[in-house]
Order: sequence, then C-alpha cells, then structure tokens
Amino acid sequence: MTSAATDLRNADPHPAAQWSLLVGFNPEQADCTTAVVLKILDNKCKMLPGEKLAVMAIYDAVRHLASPLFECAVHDAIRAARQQPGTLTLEAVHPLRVHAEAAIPKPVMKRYKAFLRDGLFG
Amino acid sequence: MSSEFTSLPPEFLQSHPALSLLRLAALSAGPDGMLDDDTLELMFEQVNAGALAGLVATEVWAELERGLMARMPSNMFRALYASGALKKVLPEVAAVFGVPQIADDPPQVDIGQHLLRVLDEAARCGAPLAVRFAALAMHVGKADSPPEHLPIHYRHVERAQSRIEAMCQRFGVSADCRELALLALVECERVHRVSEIRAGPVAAMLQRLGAFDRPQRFDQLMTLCACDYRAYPKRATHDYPKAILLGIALKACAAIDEIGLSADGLQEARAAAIAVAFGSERWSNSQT
Repeated sequence: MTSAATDLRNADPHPAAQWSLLVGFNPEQADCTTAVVLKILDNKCKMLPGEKLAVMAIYDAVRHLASPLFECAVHDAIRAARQQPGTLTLEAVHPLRVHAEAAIPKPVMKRYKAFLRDGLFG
Repeated sequence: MSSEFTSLPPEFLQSHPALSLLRLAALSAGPDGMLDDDTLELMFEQVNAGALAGLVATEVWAELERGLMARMPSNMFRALYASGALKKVLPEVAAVFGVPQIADDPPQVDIGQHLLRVLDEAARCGAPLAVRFAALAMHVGKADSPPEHLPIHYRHVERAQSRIEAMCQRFGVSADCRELALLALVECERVHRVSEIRAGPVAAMLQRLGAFDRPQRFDQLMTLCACDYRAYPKRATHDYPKAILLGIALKACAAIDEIGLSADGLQEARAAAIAVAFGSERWSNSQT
C-alpha cells in the first residue's frame, strides 16, 4: 500500500479519494487530475463545488503517480495556493495551468473526464 | 563535391563500401558542403542493395561523430536521410522527420528539420560532442506520439528514455554524452518555461541541473537550450532569455556563505537570494 493510501485510510478520507485508490489511477489519469486541480485553483473550472472537492481529494491520493510532465515545483505551487490562497500564490498557478492544458492532449483529457463521469459522478 | 577533404582513396571505397557511404555523408558536413544529386543517388542505390547490412555499430558511431563535430552537421544528416541510410543506422532519429511540434511563428515545425537547425547552431557555437549528441537524441520519444495528439507529444520523455539508453549502448557512446542527453530530455522544456515568478523552483532547478556541483554539465545544458531556442524560426540572432535569468540566479547564489547550513537551509538561502536578485522577495518558497 502506498503512503498516500495509508494516510487516507488513517484520516477518514473523502469517498472520491477511496474510489481513486480502489480503481488504481495510472500516470495519465494522475496528470489529468493535477491539470484539473490547476484549473480549479486558477478559477477556470466549471465543475460543481462538490465535484471540485472530490477532484482535490483524488489529487491528494494520486499526485505521487503523476508523470515527469509535472515537476515538484508544480505540486509545491498547488500546496501553497491551497494553504494560503491569495493573489500571489494563485498568480503562480496561472502559468502552470496554461502549461498543463497545452501539454495534455485534448483526447487524453476527454478520456479522463469520461472516466470520472462514469466512475464517480455518474 | 570534389576536394581533398572529401575525397576517399579508391581502395577504401572498394574494401569498405558501407563505411565509405557513411564517411562521404560525414565529410559533407565539412567545409565543402552538401553532396550532389548523383552521389546521393548512388548512395541510395547502395543502401537499397543492402550495403549497410552487417556494419558494426561502433564503426557507424565513429562516422556519425565525425559529421556531428564538423561545421555543418545538418549536411550529413540530410545526406543520410536522402539516401535512406538514416533509417538503417539511426532509426530513432529518422522517425522524427515529418513529425510536427508546437512553435510560435509559424505555429508548428517539423521536428527533424528543427533538429538539423539545432545541430548547426551547436556547431556554430563550437559546442562539444555531448551537446550535439543530446540535440540529436532528445526528441526520439516524439516519433510515435498518437496522431490525434499532434502536435503535442504527451509523455514523450518516458518513451525516449529507453531509446536513448539503447542508442548509447549500441554505439558505445560516452557516459557524459548519455548523461547530458537524458538530462536534456527531462529538463530542456522546463528550462524554456522557467520564470522569475517564484524563486524557490528556480533554486531547485539549478540544483537539479548541477549548476552548483557540476558547472561544466550545467553550461553544456544551457548551450543546448540556447541552440534549441535559436533554432526556432525568427530567433536566430536572439539572446536566450532563460540563460540570462538563470545566470542572474546563479550569481546571486554564489554570494551565499554556505558554512553551517543544512541542505534545506542552503536551498532556503538560495531561494531568498534569488528572490532578492529578481526583485520579487515575496516569491521565495518560504514566503508563499
């Protein structure tokens, strides 16, 4: 069991995080989750508030699976923006969100959204 | 093409037809330039007839190295591509010709043609072999990006790693060439994206790139990134802004008294020094 999985079981995790561990995310899905979190933090995500919370919880559970596309700096920026949301930290997220959207092909993101819709939000 | 530089002894041509073919291509990267159409046609026929079969990889590498280190490496690769030899000796590289990737203006470039411009720019800068090899190798994961993803090359880094390792093993390429190629594969695009907006990640990047403990390798990577940048259309005469930015950051870090600092403390100190140098104190990692 991964350390993320252990932490989640110990901390009464969000059902979405439990689901993500149950289905077993791959690096592509972890990358897409990271990209959606960047969109949420950059106020460019049209999901419902509950769905955003679910994706955030999934991110915490699977971020260690993300590919080299997202270096540590990206996860550090996400952590900073969540811990101290403000103009400065959120400004730092913006270029990362733009990069994430440019770097992940649309068919990959579309597949991920369908995966979430079918498995979690359906 | 007929000069002393490019001529080969007749006995060499007869006893080593495959090596002669590669030597001709390599020599075309020298001062006398591209091969004529008749020579290319002859090379094409020889390749088609199987002239390259059974050639030892280390012998191939010796010729590739000769061309890579010459004044116009692109001439060698054009000759190898036109004759069909590139597919035989470097299929990983041949496969990126005709594959698009995102650029500014025009919005897309052919990776193969871009790679040739990077190599010529590296030669113009007098870059060492490691830089030129890295330029050759760092796009090989983009050859088989799914067509529906193009011109984006999602996860090409993962695809390229094993291919670069295989190329290095096959040719017996030196460890410094291999290391720089693998580093460039992961970091070149990140260097292109680096910004002064947060000093912490800049300090972390300098550490990852070996700027503090392997300055020569760091310089080589910066040379490669600059060549890659200038190889895009309309940038040939531009300074590379990210090298300037990282140079400022590195200079700021050089002034730190490291005695008594832990590894984490040193990174904090570097981030703070970089933030001051960038005039963006609030953006260090510790002040987010």
